Amino acid sequence: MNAALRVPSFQERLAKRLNFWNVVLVLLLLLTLVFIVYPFGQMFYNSLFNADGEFSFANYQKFFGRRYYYNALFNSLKICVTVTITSLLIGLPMAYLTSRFHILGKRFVDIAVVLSLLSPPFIGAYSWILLFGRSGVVTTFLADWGIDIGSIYGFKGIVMVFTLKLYPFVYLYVSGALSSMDASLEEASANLGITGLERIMRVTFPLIIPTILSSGLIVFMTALADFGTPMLLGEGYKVLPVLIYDEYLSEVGSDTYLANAMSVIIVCISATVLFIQKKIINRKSYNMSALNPPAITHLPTGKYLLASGFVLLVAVVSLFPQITVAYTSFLKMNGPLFVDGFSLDSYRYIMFKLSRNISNTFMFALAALAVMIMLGLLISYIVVRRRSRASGLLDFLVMFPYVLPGSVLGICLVMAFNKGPIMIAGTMWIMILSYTIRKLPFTLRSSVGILYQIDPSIEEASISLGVSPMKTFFTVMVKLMMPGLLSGAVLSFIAVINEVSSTIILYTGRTVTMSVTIFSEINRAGYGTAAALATLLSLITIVALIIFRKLGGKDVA
Amino acid sequence: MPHSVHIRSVMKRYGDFIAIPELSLEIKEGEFFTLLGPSGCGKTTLLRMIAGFNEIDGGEISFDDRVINDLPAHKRDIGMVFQNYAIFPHLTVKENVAYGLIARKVPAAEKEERTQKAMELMHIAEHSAKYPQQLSGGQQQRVALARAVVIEPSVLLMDEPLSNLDAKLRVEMRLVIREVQQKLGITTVYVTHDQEEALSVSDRIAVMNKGHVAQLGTPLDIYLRPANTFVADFIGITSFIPVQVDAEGKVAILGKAPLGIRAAKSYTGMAILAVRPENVVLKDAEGSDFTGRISTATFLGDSVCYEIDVEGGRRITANQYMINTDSPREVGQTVGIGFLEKRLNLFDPSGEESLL
Ligand SMILES: Nc1ncnc2c1ncn2[C@@H]1O[C@H](COP(=O)(O)OP(=O)(O)OP(=O)(O)O)[C@@H](O)[C@H]1O
Ligand SMILES: [Mg+2]
Repeated sequence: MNAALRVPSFQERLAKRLNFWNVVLVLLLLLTLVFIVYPFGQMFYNSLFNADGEFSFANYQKFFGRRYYYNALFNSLKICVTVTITSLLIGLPMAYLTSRFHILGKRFVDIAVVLSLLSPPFIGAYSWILLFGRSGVVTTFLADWGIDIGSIYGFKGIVMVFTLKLYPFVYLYVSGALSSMDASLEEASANLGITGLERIMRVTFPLIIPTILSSGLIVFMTALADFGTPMLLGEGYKVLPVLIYDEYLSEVGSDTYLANAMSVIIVCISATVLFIQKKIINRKSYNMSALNPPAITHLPTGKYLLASGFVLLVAVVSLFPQITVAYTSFLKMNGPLFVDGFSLDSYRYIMFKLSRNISNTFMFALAALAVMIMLGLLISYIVVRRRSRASGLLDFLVMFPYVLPGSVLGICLVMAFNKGPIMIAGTMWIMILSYTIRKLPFTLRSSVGILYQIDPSIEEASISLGVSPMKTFFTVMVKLMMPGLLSGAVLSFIAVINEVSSTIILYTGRTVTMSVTIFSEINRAGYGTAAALATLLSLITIVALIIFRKLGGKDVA
Repeated sequence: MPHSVHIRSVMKRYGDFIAIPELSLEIKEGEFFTLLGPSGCGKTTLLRMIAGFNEIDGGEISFDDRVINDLPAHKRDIGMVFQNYAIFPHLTVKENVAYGLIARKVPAAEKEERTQKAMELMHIAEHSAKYPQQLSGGQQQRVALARAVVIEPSVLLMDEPLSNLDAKLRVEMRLVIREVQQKLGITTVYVTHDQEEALSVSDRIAVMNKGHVAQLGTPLDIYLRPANTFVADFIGITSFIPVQVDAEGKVAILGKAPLGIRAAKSYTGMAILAVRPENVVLKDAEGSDFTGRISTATFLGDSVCYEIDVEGGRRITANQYMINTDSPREVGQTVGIGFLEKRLNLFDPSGEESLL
């Protein structure tokens, strides 16, 4: 009678486990195995072999043995640290001023910040070259007056462009945290006699340390992985991603084994930084609920103008690239040279000659988006509602590419899929695959967030009324998750159409996209077409952003 | 079709923690059965095992004579009402109510009719086109109930359906629930930690403690004749007084004259007397054998509740109803304490067993 003692047979146990979600879980794990674990594993494995196919640490010895190589690592770290600091120095005061005081043109500032965040980085680099490059507008103008402003190339230029592109992360994250902070904390410290700058440094900022760290981390990782900016501005100043690209693609003396080893090194750095940040955040996070949201106060006129001036200056300067590029796109060109007057020639050219790039961009981005939405729905459900060791593993594997710089992922994928049963290198599939892998972590986090807000009993209600778990998921859960997921997906779409670092490794003549074309046009001095393409890309981004707002998305970062 | 539910030696563990070691219950066809117990005693766990949302780690559950251990939740033909309503936010009231009928592929005309009837029964027909966000908490719970009963489930399960409502609505809704259950005759398993709610709606109650059934019985049984001190203490208010039982079964408070009750079982030694406030009779101190000093008096409208300090540092709670007196007694006064003796309960020193 005591059924507790009956041990169920293997078949019975298997039958019990054979439900929709377990099947999906196994399939998803297989997918990650093939498309994430295998490519990266192979890269790691290959980095341990020399050109003759023997097991050795030769690649690592070569890297750390030659100044040319390890210097690039130092350069990368130097740039990332500097950019993180400068971005914080600009982003923190801006966030504080706009979230605590009335500032002139606050709405404009918000739009400018988002726009500069969402443009491909080399558009910034490129337009600064147009302005301050060797034959830039400003440079030549000032040279006529006998003023030499020095070079924009190298360390200085890279740091400036990165800072202007990346401080928005700090600004957006920190403003969010500042405006959801409980005002009584600051008021209490004022009562204790701590005011002004001292209060900011001793109370306000320490309370949002986790947010500040996260935003700093994103700046660091983005700067570490970015490839377009140092490529255009670096000249002799080499950083790791550029070196990987060189070693992997350069016509003469390329060394893919070394490229593998360097990729592994860069991934290790990213992973370490991420790990440290996680540790710090777990230890230092305070629970804050804004029962009493902070008031936005008026500054005295003098300070008001000063604060507004600072904030507006940053916003305008970070819009400079966009403005310059848009302006350039309407200039008349004769070959690589600008001539007097305006025209739409550049646009005509891209519509006729480059229409394929535009359609490719849309096609790949939309396809990747569809896949990401589907995977995001399924994976987030498994991660949140079917918690187990296997689902934890799935979560980890899907999130792992977050620390892979785009070019590294690109190389991984090419090496893994240019032979064997899945030979998709050079096709559109590998582009879609790469976009999906790269941006899925973001889609997944947003859909996990949505799922946490949906009461589990909603779906149990549906099941108890006789609808199977699978059908409940597709009819009820998907409908409830969709609005939030779509607004997150729009952001992924924007990120994908602006993606360069993996695209540049993966594209071929047939699968070329707008973003890489901009890059190659700049390299072959097709400034007008590059500018027109870039303007079009920004325009699409703005439209997508408006759709995002309409869908009710708020959290841009 | 209402079914009976048989729970035989079921066991549930979460990792290393055993939430329900071994529990058996028989729930009769058409019965309003309540699981009552303190937080964390395993009520929800058991209910979800019946529903199919928790796996059964040992023993078996059957509806009538059909074992349902391996039947997935959506095939169990149950109706479920959740604490937080769990109404589909993207569907109107009517679509919510019709949801289970559509899943069962009920023909359109019949679906319309049954949906309408269920909404009328729950007095929500006038809101049929509204979305859940436009309804009050009480109305939402009515929708949830309509949605669960319209499918005429074999078993209706409710997990603290009223705990999100305010006190007045709770009283109103529990009458509604009871009425609907009676009208439809659905076998119902109801979970609550509110004893008043349990006493007022149930045919039978299982009082649970740490995954065990502490007592199974009708509301009257459980209130008047608690099986152990846990139940006596959990249901209503009870003061416990140490007593001595002599060889003849006479029961006496230490050093006092014997009371009028006798231990039914052959037992001698220390025991625990359990007395409810309404069964304490207050007298003048003079001529009383057992006295105490009033330490607080709380006026409650229809009654006054006294805390009385007695010898040995103990406290007894007593209620005096206003219809029996004109003026409440004063704090500090010494009073004589008597009992309505046929309502007393007596337990062995462990509190596990009644000696009556
Ligand atoms: N998913 C779970 N994992 C681990 N332990 C659990 C889980 N669900 C419940 N428990 C534990 O099992 C015990 C019984 O929980 P259950 O939810 O059944 O209590 P309950 O009687 O419904 O309480 P309440 O009145 O608070 O709802 C508790 O000790 C609880 O901590
Ligand atoms: Mg519960």
